[in-house]
Amino acid sequence: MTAFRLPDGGRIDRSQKLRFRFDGRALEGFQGDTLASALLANDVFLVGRSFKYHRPRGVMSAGVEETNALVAVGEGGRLDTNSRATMVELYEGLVARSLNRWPSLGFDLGAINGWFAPLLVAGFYYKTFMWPRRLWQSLYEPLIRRAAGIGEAPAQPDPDRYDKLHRHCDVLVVGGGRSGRAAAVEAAAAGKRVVLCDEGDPGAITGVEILARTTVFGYYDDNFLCAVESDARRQRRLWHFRAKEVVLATGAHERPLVFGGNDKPGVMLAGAVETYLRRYAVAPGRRVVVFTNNDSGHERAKVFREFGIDVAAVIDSREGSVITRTLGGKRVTGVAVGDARIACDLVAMAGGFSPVVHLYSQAQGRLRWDEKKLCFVPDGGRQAVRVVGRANGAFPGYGIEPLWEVNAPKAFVDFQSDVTARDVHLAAQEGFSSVEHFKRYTTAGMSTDQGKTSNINALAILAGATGRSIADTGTTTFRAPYTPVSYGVLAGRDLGDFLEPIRVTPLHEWHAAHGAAFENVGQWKRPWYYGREMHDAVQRETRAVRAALGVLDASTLGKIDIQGRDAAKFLDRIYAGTFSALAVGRARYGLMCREDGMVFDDGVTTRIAQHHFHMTTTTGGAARVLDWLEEYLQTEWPELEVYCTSVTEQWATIAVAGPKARELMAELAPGLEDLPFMTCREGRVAGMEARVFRISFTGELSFEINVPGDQGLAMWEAVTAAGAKHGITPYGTETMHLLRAEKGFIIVGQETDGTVTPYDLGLDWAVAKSKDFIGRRSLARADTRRPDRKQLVGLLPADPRDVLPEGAQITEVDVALPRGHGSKPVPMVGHVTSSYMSPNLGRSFALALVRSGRSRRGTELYVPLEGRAAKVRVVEPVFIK
Amino acid sequence: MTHLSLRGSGEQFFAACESVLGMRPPTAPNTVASAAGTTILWLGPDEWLLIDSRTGTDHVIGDLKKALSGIHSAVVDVTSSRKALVVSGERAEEILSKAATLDFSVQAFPVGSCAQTNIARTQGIIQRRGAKEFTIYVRSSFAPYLRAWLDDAATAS
Repeated sequence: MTAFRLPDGGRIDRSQKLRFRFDGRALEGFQGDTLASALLANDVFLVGRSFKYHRPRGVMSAGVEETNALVAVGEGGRLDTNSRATMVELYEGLVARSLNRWPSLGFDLGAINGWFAPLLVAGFYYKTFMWPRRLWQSLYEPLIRRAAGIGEAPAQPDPDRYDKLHRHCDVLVVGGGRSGRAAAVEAAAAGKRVVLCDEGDPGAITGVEILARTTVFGYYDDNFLCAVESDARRQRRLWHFRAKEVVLATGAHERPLVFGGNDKPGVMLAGAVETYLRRYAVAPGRRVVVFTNNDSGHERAKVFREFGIDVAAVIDSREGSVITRTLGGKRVTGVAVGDARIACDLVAMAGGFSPVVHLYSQAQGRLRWDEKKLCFVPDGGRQAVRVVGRANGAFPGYGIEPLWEVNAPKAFVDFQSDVTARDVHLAAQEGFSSVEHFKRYTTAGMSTDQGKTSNINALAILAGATGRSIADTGTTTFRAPYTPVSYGVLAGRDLGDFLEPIRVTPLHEWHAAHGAAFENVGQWKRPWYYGREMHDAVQRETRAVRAALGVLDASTLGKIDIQGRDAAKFLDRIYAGTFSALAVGRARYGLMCREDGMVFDDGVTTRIAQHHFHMTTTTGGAARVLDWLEEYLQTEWPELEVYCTSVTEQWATIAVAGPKARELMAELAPGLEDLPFMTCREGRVAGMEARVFRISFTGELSFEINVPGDQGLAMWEAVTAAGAKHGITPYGTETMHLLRAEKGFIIVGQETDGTVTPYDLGLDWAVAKSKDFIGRRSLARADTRRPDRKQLVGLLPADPRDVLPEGAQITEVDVALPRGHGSKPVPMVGHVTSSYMSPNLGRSFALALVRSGRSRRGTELYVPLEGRAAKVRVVEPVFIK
Repeated sequence: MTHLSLRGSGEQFFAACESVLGMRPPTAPNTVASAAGTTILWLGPDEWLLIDSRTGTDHVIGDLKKALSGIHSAVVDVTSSRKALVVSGERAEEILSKAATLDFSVQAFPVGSCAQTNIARTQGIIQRRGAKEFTIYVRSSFAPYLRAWLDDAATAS
C-alpha cells in the first residue's frame, strides 16, 4: 500500500461508506468522494490506457481538466462512456470500467503499439494509410476505426429523462470561487437578476440563483451561453442562457511539465495532490518528488510535509536541475535527475498556471501573452463580458521561468492523444509552423479535454522549434464544448413522438376508428388506405371511385386567402397562367415557377370576388408558398395592395368523387349538384355553411366541400351517411395517387424535382404567352427549350403484372442491374416517377421522365431490375381519357 | 367565440375598426388590447388576431368588412385555425421556458403582452393573462402534439 486515506480531515462524510466496483473489483469510498479520490484511496493508480500507444495511465488532476482517467460509468442504457473519474461523484453501487484495454487493464495487447511508436509519429494517419489504394476498404479503414476513439457507445436506449430550459438574466456568473461570488453579490445588491453556475456546489448567496454541478460549455454570439446541469449521477438538463452581462470567474488550470515518462500513473499535478489531501483526505503517495519551474512548487512541498508526506526532493529547473525521466512500469517508482536516481511513489508537477480563457475565447475575446506570468490573459472582446480573478491573470507573480520541455523520449504534451514533444518537433521540421495546421497534423489539443493541459505547452514547444516567440506563434481557437456533453442532454425530450410534431386533420379520429393506415406527408398524418393490407384496399377504393362514389379527407391541402385591389395582378405575376381574366366564381389550375423556370408548386385558385381569391397549394408546399408570396410582396412589389392569410387550418376539405357524386350533392345541397366544372359556390350543404368547388384531382365527377374545421367531422359524417346508399367508400392517398396518375395528373415533388419546367411536363397550356411572370425569362433560355430534355411520358410494361419500382432508371438497352463492381456503364435516359397496378386498366402502368420522351412515343425502353430488365413501351401520359 | 385575422394600416383603417369595435387595434408591438369580451393581439405592424369571446357575434366580421370596404385591409375568419391551450400555476413560467426561448419573467413579459414564437417544435402565439397564467394559440393540427408536449414538460422538473 502506497496511497492511503488520512485518519482525519477532508470534506467527506466518513459515516457514509459507499461500495462501488471498478473493473469488477469491489471497493469502498465515502460520501463526498469522487471516483478518482476513491480509487486513489484504494491505491488504484492504473485507471486506463492511452489512445494510441495504450500506455498505462492514472489520475493526473482533481478536476475538469483530467485527460487520462477516462472511464465508463454505469451499465446498460445508463452507460456513460469517457467520463472523467475526477468529475464522477461516488455513489452507492457505482460500476465503472477502464477504457481502451483488451483483454485487461493490467495486460493489454494494444500496448504493442508502443513498440511501434516510431511508426505512429505526428501525422501517422497521413503517412501510413496511403498506399496501396485497394487496402483502404479491407484493411486500413477497419483498423483505424477499431483503434481510433476511446470508449464505446451504449447499446441500449437510455431510460433517463433529460430536459432543456431557457433562462434570461441580467448577469450570468460562471464560476463560484471567491471572485465569482463577489461579482454575484455585487450584482444582486444592485437589484439585478443574477444566475451563478458552478461545477461544484458553491453554497447559497442571497438574491442569486445558484446552479450547482452546472458547467457552462459554450459561449456564442449575443451573450448566448449553454450549460449542462448534472445531478449526483448524470448530466440532466441543458440550459440556454441569454445574459445582458457575463462574468467569467473560471479560475486557472495548472500546467504539467514535459519530461520523459511524465504520463506514468503516480505523476500528478501538484495542485491536484493538494486537493486530494485537503478535500478528500487522500494521500496519493508516501514519498513525493516535486518538479517545478516556479515558486508554487516549494509552497506545495510545504503543504505536503504538513500532511505527513515525505518530500524526497524539490527539483527546480530555475536551479538548473530537471527530471529527465521517470522510473517504473505501471506506477512511478522513482525519477532520474541527470545521473542521480531518487526513489518515490509520487511526482508532483508544478508547471505554472494558465487562466481558463476557453469561454472568453469562444466569445471572440482577444488574448494577450503575458511574458512575466507566462500565460495568455484576456485582452478585450466585443461582447458584454468581464473576466475576473485568476481567469483574468489576477494572481501575484510567482517567479516562473520558462521550462517548456526536457529533451527526452516519451515526454508527453497531449496525454490523451499521445502527442510527445518529439512529435511537435517533427511537425515543425516538416513545415507545420502555423499553429492551426500543426494542431490538425499532430492532433495535439484535440483530445476530449480540449487542450486544457496541453495547449500552452504544445505551442510553446512549437514556438521554440520554429524560432518564434509564443506571442507570435499564437494560439488555436477555443471551441465549444468546454467539457463533453452527453447526447441524451442534447436530445432532451425531442424523442419518440416528440421527435417531430405530428399534425392531424379535424377528421383524424374518424379515420383511426375506421381502420385507416396513415402515411406521413411532411408532418401530416394522412389516411393512406383503409384496411389491413394495402394492395387489396387500394384496388377496392379505386374501383369504388371510378364506378360509384368515394370520399377523401383533403383537409391538408394548403389554402391561402388572397385579397386586395391588386390581388389579380399579383397572381398573374406569381402563376405561369393568367388569373386576371378569371370570372368571379370560377377556378383555374395554376403552376408556380421559381426564377429559374422550374416548377415549384401547383394548385387550383378560385376567384371568390373581384378582389378576393382562394388559392390552394400542395400539402407539403403550403408554408413554402405562403413564404414565397410574402417575400415577393414585401421585398419586390411592396406597392401592391394585397394581403395573404393562411386558411389551411380554417377549412376542412372533403372531396366526394365518382359517378354518383352528383346524386349525393342533389340530396345534401339541392341546387349545387349542377355546379359547372371549375366553379365554386357558397351555400348550405347538409345544413352547414360551405364553400363547394367543382374540381377534380381524380378525373371523376368530383366536388370539394369546404367547411370550417370545427364542423369538419359533422360534415364528413353527413356525407358518409347520405352516401351509404351509393356505397360511398373512404379512400386514402394511395388511391388518390393512383387515380390521378391514370389521368396523367402530376404531383409536384413526385413528377418534379426542381429541374422540371412546365414544358417538360407537357403543360404548355398552363403557361401564358403574353404576360410576365416569375420564371418566364428562364423559360426562354435555349437550355430550357432543348428538345432532348427529360419529358413526362407514360410507360406500359410489356408484362402487365410488372409494377416498376418508383425511382428506377431507364435505359435503351436490355440490361439487368449490375452486381458488384466492374460492370460496364450504361447510359441512363430517364427514371420512373410514379408506378401503380390499376384495377381500372387491369394492368400496371407508370409515369416517367425520359430524355426526348415525347419523340419516343411508341418505342420501347428498358428498366433494369435485379437479374433482368423490364421491357416498357413509351406512351402518352394519359391512361384513362 | 370568433377568431379573425385583421390586416390593414393607416388612420382610415384604425378609425373604421374603432367604429365597429369601440377600440383601436394596439400599435405597440407584442401587446394586447381588450374591451367587453373582445381581445386584439398585436402580431405585426399591420396584422392582428381579434378574438371575440362573446356568443352571437357573427355579425362582427360582416360589420368590419362593411366599415373597411374601400380601405386596403383584410378580415378573414380563422376561428377554426387555432386552438387555445392554457398554461397556469406556480410553474407556468418554467414550463414555457422549456418550450420557448423568450423571457417569460413578469418584468419582461408583463400581463397584457403577447408574442408569436416557436413553441417546442411548432409555432404559436403566447399571451400572458395573469402572473401565473398564459394562453397559447396554436394551429389546430398541432394542438394534440403541443398539448402532449406541455403535459410531458409539466410532469418533471
